[in-house]
Amino acid sequence: MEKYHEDLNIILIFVSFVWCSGAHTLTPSQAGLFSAVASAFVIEVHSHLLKDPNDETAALLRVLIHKIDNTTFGNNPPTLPQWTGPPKRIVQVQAILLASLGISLLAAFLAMLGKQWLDQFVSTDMRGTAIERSHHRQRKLDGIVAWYFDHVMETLPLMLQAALLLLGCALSRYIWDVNTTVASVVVAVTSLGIILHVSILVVGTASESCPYQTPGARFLRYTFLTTLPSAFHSVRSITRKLFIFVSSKLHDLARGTFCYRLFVEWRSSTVNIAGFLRFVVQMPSALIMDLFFRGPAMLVITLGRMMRHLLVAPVIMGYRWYTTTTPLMHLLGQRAIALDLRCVLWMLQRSSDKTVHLSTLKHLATMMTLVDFDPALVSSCFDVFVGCIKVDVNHRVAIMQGLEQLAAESAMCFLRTFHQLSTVDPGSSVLKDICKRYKRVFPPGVDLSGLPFDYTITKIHALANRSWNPRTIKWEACRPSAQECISFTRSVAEVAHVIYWRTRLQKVPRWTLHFALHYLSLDPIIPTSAIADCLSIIAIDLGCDVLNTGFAMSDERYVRI
Amino acid sequence: MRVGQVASLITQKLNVMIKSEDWRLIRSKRKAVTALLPYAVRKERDGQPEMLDTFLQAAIASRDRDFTWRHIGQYASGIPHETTPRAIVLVLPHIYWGRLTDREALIQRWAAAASEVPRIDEVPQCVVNTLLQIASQRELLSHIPADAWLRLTERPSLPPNCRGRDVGTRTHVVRAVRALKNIEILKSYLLLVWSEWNYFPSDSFGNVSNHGLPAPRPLCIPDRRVNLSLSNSSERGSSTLLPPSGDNR
Repeated sequence: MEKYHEDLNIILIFVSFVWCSGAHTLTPSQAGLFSAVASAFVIEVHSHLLKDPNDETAALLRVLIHKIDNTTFGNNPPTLPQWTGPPKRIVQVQAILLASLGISLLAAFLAMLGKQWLDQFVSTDMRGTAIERSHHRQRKLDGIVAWYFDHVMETLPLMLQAALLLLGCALSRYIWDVNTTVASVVVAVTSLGIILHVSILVVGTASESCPYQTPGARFLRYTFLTTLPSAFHSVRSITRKLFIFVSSKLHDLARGTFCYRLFVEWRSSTVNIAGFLRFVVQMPSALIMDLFFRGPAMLVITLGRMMRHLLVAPVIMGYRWYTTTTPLMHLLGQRAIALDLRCVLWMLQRSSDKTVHLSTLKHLATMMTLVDFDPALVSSCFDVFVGCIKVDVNHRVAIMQGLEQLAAESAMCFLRTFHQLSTVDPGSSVLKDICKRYKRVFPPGVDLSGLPFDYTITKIHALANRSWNPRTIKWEACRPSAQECISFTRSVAEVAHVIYWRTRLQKVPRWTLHFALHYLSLDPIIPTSAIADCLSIIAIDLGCDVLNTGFAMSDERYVRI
Repeated sequence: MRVGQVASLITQKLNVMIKSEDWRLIRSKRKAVTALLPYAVRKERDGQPEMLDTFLQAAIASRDRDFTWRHIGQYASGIPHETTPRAIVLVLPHIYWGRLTDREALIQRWAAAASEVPRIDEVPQCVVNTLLQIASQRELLSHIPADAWLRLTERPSLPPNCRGRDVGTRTHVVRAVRALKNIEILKSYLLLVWSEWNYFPSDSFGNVSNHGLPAPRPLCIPDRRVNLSLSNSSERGSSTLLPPSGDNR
């Protein structure tokens, strides 16, 4: 937002002395650089659009002198010229100049509106809890993305560049008829500016890491990225149609051959060894007959068709199965969850208040699922957790006084996010970084026994040291506390959910079912929400669509077959 | 609330699978169905037997005698004390006794539960099935209460893919039944386990021939299907396979 404010200020300074915000004042020398320059030329050229009275006066004087002394002008008596309108060149120049001025003023108008939009955005016009306010803020931020606010803001410099280009062209055209030498200088400078800008545009478009980025370059890159795939899709569609056409024609040709008939008969019959052996035995004779009766070309076509059936068709079937089973509809409700997660991340990153951290982490812990969360969330949870503990010289971990609850919440949230990230994306760079940092904070041989959330920290330790293998883990080794159990069952349910839809194996990992079985067997029974998560794992494996609305508290999970 | 929704959804889904009679699909989900068992048992204790009934139906519809997942053994070994006798009786036939721990105590609990449960519906069948499975474990034979064997005389119909029927023809089981010296139990036992799908090892009746009796015929008769649940078949079985009463021991 600050960047846009700065950009708009520059635009307004560059374009016009009009200033929208009363809070800011500009000196006249700063204001209206471009509009003042353009206006000067407009005024200058504008005088050429009208009939010049001085010309008529001079003509009349010449006529008067000729009446007094008819030898003054020789054989060319002066005449009174008739006004036929402004010269074509002047009209062109003035049109271009006015277009330039108009575009720059339009940019100024949009910049003025833009500043109002930004002022409205940064204003805190809502009261409520931190969660509600962050939701409100996140909603506004999402609106900026959804309504292409960035693109609108970035068109303003483009408009200014266009206005500047038009001014340069108009000036060149105007001066050219006045004096070619002077005009050459103007044309050269304008051309140099155009070449420089085009070069920057090309370089900026070609390389994202190039520091000479302009809005035009970003726009072009975005266009290429969106247009090229669709163009590729069109080409692929045409190719496919062509392929189908050629394939059907070849099929018609091949259908009459002995080989192909034998092949189709074999494929349509029941698959068994005897049928295959019969096919293999009869094929050579069919090949010979086709070679004699149909010719080598037809034989090649037939063999090509057969190979297509044997090799290409399974690939196509596999591709179709893969694309048709993509669970697009399963992503319902994820938008709300994603909003929550972005809010949580933002609050953890921006706030240093422990109370805010605690309430945020509590909210994160009660979220039903974490869908495609930003890996930075793991780091944030880890940072909060590390901020609550201290490791003494004897490698004994202790919680700082007064931060026990925050330590427990952050540990559980850290385990939840860490576990999910390590399952879903084991090669993540964030994961590697977290592991390194964890090992620095908790060196080997560290004593974790004094922590109240023993179960959670043990799992974290196993994850960070890459000794976590859920397939062989003994769930019965230790019993988690109720709160840890809720958090951990939820994380396992999420893993089951993600892997079920990601792998397309129509199964959840076996260890998650083992986990559910063990936790449902525990006596005394685990908390209700943990039971719900264990049952959700089973439901997911049975093919039930468990939709998570993600609205904070329990009893909000909808399920349907 | 949420638990109830998910549980009802699972029950609904399982019922759909059972009605479709797609045993391959049910088998492919046997781990998930097994994981459901502890919760179903708990619900049965709370007066909601629907999920347990659905589990049992799924186990039968799978046509798989090893339907349950091996990890259920740990739960079954320490099945909670609050579990109802009906649940114990109905669930234990689906557990492989070879993997259980603390089996002696479990046998006592099972025997107590079997005596408490009303002998209706599938209860006699489950009791006999479990009894034969326990008996098939040689080391557990001595722990079976004597009156538990009397349940064989109820002669419930055992399905072909019943594990108890399959493992109940082992030599030591036959000998144990004969050692009871009760002709009714022996007769019922043979009627229950005798079928074309099972066979008795040749040494099961070894000491019978030692008494000068004709060697027993092989009980596997490929072209002869006998419905053991019918009462009239018992007469045929007894007259053909068993020696005269009083001489067979």
